[in-house]
Amino acid sequence: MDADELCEVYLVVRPEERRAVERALDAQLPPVVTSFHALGRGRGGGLRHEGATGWWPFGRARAGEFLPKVVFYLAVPARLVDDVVDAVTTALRGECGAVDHGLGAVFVLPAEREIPVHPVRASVVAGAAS
Amino acid sequence: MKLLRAIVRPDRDREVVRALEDAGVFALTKVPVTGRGRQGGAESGSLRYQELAKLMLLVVVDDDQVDAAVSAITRAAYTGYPGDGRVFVSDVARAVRIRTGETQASPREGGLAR
Repeated sequence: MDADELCEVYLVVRPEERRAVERALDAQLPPVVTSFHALGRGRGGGLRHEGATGWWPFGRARAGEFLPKVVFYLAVPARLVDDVVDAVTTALRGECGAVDHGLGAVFVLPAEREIPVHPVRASVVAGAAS
Repeated sequence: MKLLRAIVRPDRDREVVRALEDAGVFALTKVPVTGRGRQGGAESGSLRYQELAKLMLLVVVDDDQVDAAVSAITRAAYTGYPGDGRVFVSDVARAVRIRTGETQASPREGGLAR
């Protein structure tokens, strides 16, 4: 992948880690990001804890349950993807000790192009990212 | 590796998730969205709905699971009426499991890493 090739990045994380992700992204990129609430589960097929845990204090949960997630969506040049992924994964694994399941995932997709709606704003962003 | 973005009726949620489970796909993210298709929304009497509630599923699967996953979604989401939704399939260059740092990359990106 060329360094200037545009990539779409989806970060699927726990809602309570929103600030950690925002901080990690702020350190790497201009503050251009879209986020939305979602429900998700991993390859294990969802929550299987019976009873409260350190990060799921609400008691019993059914196996296979979907949990609240926040998805960050951003488009960045390929040369910045490694930095973004490293910053986010380091921040989250640092906070949680890298032991819990459900920390989430990062998906990187090649994007064809980004067409800014507001050209002035876009040029500011492009300048800050380079 | 592919990302499936499936826009389906929210009331087909359970059926689609169950069909994906039957196809061996458990990991997915669900996002409530609003949208419209070629019909430009829906009409009910004098009321016109510009956009309708939809559910977007984000599913990342290995290449050999794509057909089974798409088939599961389309079969389970099907009602035969306008508004059943669409499935979009995109290449994924890389997928990182945050907990472990395990990275899966497409062959173009060099395959498995870390």
